[in-house]
Amino acid sequence: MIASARWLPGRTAAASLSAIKRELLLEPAGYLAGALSAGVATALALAVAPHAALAHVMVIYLLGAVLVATRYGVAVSTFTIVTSALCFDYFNIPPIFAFAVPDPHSAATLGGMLLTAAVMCSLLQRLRYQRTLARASEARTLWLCELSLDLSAVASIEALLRAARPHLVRLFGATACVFVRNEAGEIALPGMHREQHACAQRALRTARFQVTETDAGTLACQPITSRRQTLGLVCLTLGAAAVEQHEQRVLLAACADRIAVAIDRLALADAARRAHVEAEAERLRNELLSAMSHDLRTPLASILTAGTTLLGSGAPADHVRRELLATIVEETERLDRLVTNLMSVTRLESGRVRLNKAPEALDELTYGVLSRLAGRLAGREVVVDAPDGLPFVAMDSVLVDQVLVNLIENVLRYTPAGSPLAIRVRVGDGEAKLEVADSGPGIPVEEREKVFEKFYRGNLAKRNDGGSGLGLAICRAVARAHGGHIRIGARAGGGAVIEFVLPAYDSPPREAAGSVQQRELQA
Amino acid sequence: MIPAVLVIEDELPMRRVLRAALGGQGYRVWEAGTVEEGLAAFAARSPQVVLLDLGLPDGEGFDVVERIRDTSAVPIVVISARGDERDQVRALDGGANDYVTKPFREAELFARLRAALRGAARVSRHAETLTIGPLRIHCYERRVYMAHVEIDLTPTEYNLLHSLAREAGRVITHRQLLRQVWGPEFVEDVQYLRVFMKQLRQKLEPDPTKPQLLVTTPGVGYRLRPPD
Repeated sequence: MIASARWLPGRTAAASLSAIKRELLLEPAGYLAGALSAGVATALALAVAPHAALAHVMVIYLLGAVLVATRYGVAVSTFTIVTSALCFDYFNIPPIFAFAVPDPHSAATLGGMLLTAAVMCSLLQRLRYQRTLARASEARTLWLCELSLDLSAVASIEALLRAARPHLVRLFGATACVFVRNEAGEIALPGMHREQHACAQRALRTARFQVTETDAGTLACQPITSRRQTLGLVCLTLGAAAVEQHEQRVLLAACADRIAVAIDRLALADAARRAHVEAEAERLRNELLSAMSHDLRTPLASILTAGTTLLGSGAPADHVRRELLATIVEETERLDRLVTNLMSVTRLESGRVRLNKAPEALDELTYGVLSRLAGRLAGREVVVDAPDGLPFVAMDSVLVDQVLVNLIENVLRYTPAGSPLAIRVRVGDGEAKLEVADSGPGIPVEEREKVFEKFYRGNLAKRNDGGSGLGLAICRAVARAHGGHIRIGARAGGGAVIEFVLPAYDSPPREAAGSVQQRELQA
Repeated sequence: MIPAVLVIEDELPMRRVLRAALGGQGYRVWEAGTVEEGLAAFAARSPQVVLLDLGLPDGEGFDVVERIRDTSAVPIVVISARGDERDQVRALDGGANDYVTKPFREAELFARLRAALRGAARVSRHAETLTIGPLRIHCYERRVYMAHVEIDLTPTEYNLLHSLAREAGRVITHRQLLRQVWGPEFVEDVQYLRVFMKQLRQKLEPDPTKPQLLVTTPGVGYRLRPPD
């Protein structure tokens, strides 16, 4: 994973550091101010000269030089001191209007002035330099805080890289790349030349800052480490001078450290989330096991008892034998249903199921299911309301078929024999909707969510009705796997309506089907 | 002639049950428990039909289908506890004649076995007439009669029906039907099948909303079901 950015113009921390030095040498306004100070001091000195001693006059020049030194750099200060000294000598030290130092007293005054000015200016210069540094470091601290703040808000490695990039660009004014370990535990370094790659590898191997000169500029590689593990690499391409600075390296190391903290935090959050999921899975597994051991054992017990009775010495009567055999068959079928349902729901909920999507006609699917269940539906009025020429909808027909079977089996199980059943199919507005309405007792509002949970049986469900408590859980898992939903409502006039909805954005339009027919007519 | 069945199945209880059931129906039964044994027994015994389990200790049943199909057109009925339709499609596309999911009822198994044997008994793939219950197809004239009433079919509808009727009773996968009727470049276009099956049902089924003759096996294909 890489985040990179081009150099952006603007004042950066790196730029501000080098700017300090540059300013100290090149300040045209400073020289002007120095000359002006010398001039003004001379004018004042000439004005007070008749009434003051030479030493007093000297103070005026000193004052000017110090004032200039508070605002400008070493070069300007030196220039001001020398100019002021020359002016002092020329205009104030007798002989006036000549660069001559006639007596030791005057020489001492001039020398004293030069020395005092030099000492004061150098002190001021140091102060100024430190102030500028303090400001820069303040700005860096602020930027580092901003980086930490931004990184603490990210929720993924990708977001982290996205958030770190502009900060690095701003701090170093360089092309910045951040590489982190991928899921395979490797740090991929794409898009690097051989020498750059070697430098990056060296940094990773030694877990230390490394730098190399390339055609594209100086490449600085700072490993991101945490608890003696290398998590990634920050690479900067920047000017040679900047890399040499100690502050820059410290700053880069600090940034890498912030990124390491953020990566650690993400890893910990991930581990916590996984632990939670595992705990939840464990809880579900336990519930499942207890429910299963009951639901699996009950039919097994009947089968075993029936089988042993048949094998036993009792020699049961013919009709008893048939009854026992029928029990074995029925209970085996119940077991088979349970195992099939369990497998479906586990597979679907694990998220590992790959949908086998194909365009299907929902009405055809419905008719198919109804004709398979025709025997059990005998004596019930079944109404299917589906408009002609329903568009095809992309779905996994096997799973949707199973949903229909489960919904209809529920109707068979929980509504009075002979009560009617209505199925309504609609496709439009980006969704395919299938409604199964019955005239049974309905499902109370407070149970309408719960019945979709595994092994939850409605209060009205009898314990031994052949249901597994999984049918609706499967329906919901299928709906969700397709990006759809399922919900229960009440039918006007009593009974329940279950609404199963699938997205139908990618359903082929009816014309596709029409064109097939067209083609044939021409053939 | 008594049909001989080769059962390739590694589970002993299942073999015991199959032996009893098949023997009871008058079949001769050969048994094998592995891929190698199965192929050896097939070569030695030349059975009329093979009942094949998919999960064998030394390999996959799919390999057995492939190896047998290299040399023989003998009907193969796969019996497997794997309910996944992809396995069914794979076995059927690979050349198996039918696929019965375990557990199955005895009647179901024998219906499929009989259908498989019936298909093999028809020597010519271009039989003159095909009769499946009330449905009669005159292949040379390409005419179709339902309970003695001629049904008007388009060429594609006829080809589709003919493909299903030729192997009545067995599931034909979507790909097989699409290849036979439309051609190899159309094997993915399942929606063609949907359209034409709907038309066929409207013309042939007494109640198209309760298909009895042209039956869908979701995710696998279609079957022309002969009346019981």
